[in-house]
Amino acid sequence: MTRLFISLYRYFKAHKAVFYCILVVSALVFGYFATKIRFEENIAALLPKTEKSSDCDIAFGDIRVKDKIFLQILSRSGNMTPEEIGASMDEFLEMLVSRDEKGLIANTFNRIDTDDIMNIVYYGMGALPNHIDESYYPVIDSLLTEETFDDIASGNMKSKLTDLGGYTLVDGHIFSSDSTVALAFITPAFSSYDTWRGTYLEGLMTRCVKEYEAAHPDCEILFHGVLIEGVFNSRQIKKDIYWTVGISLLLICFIICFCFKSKSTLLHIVLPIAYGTIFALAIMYWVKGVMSFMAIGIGALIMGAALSYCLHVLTHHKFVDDVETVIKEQTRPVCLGCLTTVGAFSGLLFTTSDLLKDFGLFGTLMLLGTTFFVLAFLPQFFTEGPAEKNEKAFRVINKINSYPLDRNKPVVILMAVISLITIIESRNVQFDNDLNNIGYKEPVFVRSENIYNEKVNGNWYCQYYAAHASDLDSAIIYNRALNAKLDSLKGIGAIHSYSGVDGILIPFEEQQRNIDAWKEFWTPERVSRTFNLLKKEAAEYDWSSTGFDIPETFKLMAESDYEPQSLYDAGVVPEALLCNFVENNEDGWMVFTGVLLDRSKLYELNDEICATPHVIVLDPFYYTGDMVEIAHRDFNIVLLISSIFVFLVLLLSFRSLAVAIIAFLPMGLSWYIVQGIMYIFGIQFNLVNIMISTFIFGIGVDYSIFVMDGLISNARYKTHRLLICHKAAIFFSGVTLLIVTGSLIFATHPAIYSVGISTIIGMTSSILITYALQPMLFRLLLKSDYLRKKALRIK
Amino acid sequence: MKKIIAIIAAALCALTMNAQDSAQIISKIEKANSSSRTVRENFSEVMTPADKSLKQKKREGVFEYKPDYFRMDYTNNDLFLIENNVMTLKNGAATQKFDLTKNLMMKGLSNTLMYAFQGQLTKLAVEQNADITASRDGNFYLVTLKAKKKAPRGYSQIVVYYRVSDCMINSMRMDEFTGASTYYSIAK
Repeated sequence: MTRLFISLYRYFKAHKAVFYCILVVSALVFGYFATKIRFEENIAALLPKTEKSSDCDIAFGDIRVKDKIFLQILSRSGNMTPEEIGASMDEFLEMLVSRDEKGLIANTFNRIDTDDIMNIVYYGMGALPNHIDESYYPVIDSLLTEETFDDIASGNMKSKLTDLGGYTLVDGHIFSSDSTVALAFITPAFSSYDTWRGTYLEGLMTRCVKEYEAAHPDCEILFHGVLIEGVFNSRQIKKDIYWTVGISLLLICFIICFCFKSKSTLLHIVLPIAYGTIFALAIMYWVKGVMSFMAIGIGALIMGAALSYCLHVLTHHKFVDDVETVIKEQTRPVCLGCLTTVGAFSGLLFTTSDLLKDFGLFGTLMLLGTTFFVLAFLPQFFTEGPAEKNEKAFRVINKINSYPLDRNKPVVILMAVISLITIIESRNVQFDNDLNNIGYKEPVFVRSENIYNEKVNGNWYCQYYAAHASDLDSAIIYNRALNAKLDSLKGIGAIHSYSGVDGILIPFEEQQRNIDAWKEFWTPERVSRTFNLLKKEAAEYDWSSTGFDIPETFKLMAESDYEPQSLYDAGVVPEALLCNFVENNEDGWMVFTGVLLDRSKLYELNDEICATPHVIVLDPFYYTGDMVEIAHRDFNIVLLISSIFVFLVLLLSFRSLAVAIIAFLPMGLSWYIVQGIMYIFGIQFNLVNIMISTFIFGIGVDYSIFVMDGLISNARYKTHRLLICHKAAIFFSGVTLLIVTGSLIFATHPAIYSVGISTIIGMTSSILITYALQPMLFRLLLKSDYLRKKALRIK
Repeated sequence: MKKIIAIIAAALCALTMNAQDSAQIISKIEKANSSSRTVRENFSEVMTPADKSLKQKKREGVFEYKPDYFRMDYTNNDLFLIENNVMTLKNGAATQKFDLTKNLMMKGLSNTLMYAFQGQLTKLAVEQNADITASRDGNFYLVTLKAKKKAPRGYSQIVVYYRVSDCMINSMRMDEFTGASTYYSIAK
């Protein structure tokens, strides 16, 4: 390998035109295809189906009810009347819809009009018997008395039509039950997984809110929903990455320029990483065409690993004038480091998670591309002769590096004790498989959710379920079974309450039974008796002034013929309201039921409720919980395979079992130390930050390979030069990576923050083990003549 | 025996011919009313409540219609207007507007009046879920629509007379299941 790169160096040096041609053309080709790759921002879409979700084969992207946006208006001072708040809601919605030039809003629903009520009455007149269960007739019969009719006529038994569970109606507007918050439901004309349109709609709504609130200071307007959450999540990821990684890169540039005393050093660092990145993206485009945006974000860590190879070569050149010597001394450890790091990353390719696969493939390709550039192209930019550097800075670095940490007994003992404790505790580390906990929620979003939960749901958690079938009548039948299950759960206090359309969407067969029961109940004698009672009340309370002949209407209703009808097809319920209860999409028909329950019992209740045939939870994360568990199990297996691969490579390279074990130590130990420290500080692993463990492996083994190479050179040639070079490069690499990863702890997004914390812990332990334990153990190894000869390959 | 067969055959023929006549009359009326012209005529209206002890309500005025437009201006300033899918009802001082794309009850009422006045008989029969028959009665065509089943809303029967000369509406009686009825008479 060394001979290959030296040959390449000599050839390119003699044929500069060929060198620049190959460099520029390859960069252009990779760059072009890199720009064509598409990024996926929805984490649930990147997890494969499991047996649980495959049973129903539902594509959550097609379910529209989950996309609904909840809009709320309330008075800041509490002085606005409900009528004024209702009118504000009308005005705001009108403003919002009028500015929706792209047609992103399918419909809005915030009131029940006179038209809607008339439609319900109209429908009811023609279908009332269909909805009365036969079990109600004994109760109805008991109410057919003069006293009851008197009470109704005199207004004592006023209809409770305005009380609708957690809602109420004020002047036709939908409010929370305490009439303080006006509510509206906005249905987008696209899926919540379409983050581009979602971002646009959120932007439009935010602008309208700001404008309306400025003109009406007492109005507070809030909104939330799955779609809005996705937009905020995506925005925060980008913001955090731009700021944290951006600022930390500026700091690193300053340090590099200061220490290397050459502006071209920055170019020498950026070029290989940029080349590696576009190479990786181009291959990803050819292989997959799409990749996770989150994998790119976490990929900033991979850039750190790639950066360390650049720094090793550049730093070495500061100590060695001859470029061929730099290549000769760097090729082996750089290639070995690349191979073992790639081995760590490529293990992720064997997981079942697209997110982890994307990260593994991207990492692998990027490292390969960068390493090739560093060894084949970068040396062409070096000048022969002494390289300029900040002597004072390098002296300080060398002084730090030369501190004999491995000979400081208290430090070594402390490290050993910490290692032991954390290794023991590592098996207790928790894995959080709830993807909801690694999402970001904007404070204003949380406020909106909290108000809705308090005012409408009574602080209970609301979970929606869907009964599904290929036709509506079957879906209604399955919904019946679901409601029976919910009824029994409510009876034992397992759930607080549920609301659905069980009472108004009735299967045709049951409607016919109800119609037959109606016919049987209204005998001529009963009709005549009731008719006479109504006539008496009509005369007493002057019902003729209403324009309706109520007694005659009743008689007509009692004696008419009825047949089963579809409320859905009757067009009686406004579409904007109906879509909350029934949906028809490519997967068939769904009938929804909302359940208020204790969130702490969510998962076991979901399992129990979904045991009902043809019922699913309207929460893709319920199904991804399994997927995340699978990803976690996959990962442990992959970690083992990667470890074996890395160890074998070390063994083949160093050709000494003892040396291979010592070189493997930072990688092996640091992983357990990370887990132990995370458990002690109560930090959980999740799908996102567990990916960085591969990075810690990669860095750990890189550092240990370079230090081991330096230690072997020390022992063989009795010179510290190589170790000094390697340690200086490790210093720069460590500092830059700690700055980049350390900056992530300033991120607001929980997933990005968790990556920062776990990476700092992992990297620090890797460096300390490499600087302290590894030299100490190598020194012990050299005391054995046999092992010394094996390690130094002395015959 | 031969006489009996002949009588049965004659009766069947008569039935068939009547059915053919009925369909022909309906088709003729629909065709005559299919143009886009505007029609404007005087009319009178009598509403009889189900309770026969109560007084009838009588009004008169001018009606006007063209495709997708129907207006009844009463001499007492009441108004019934259907335009651009909006129904406007003015009764005395109160004016109500109904969005016919949303309000099913009013849409049914407006369709019934429009179809009957404009001679769109097939659509009227579908709207009312009624059986339709037509026959000649002197200088008029008598069209009868009878509800297929008893229902708590809508009309049990609608009887419309169209002039043979021009197939325009002459009079209409709309009987509700409750026993109330409304009678329109058009003065030429």
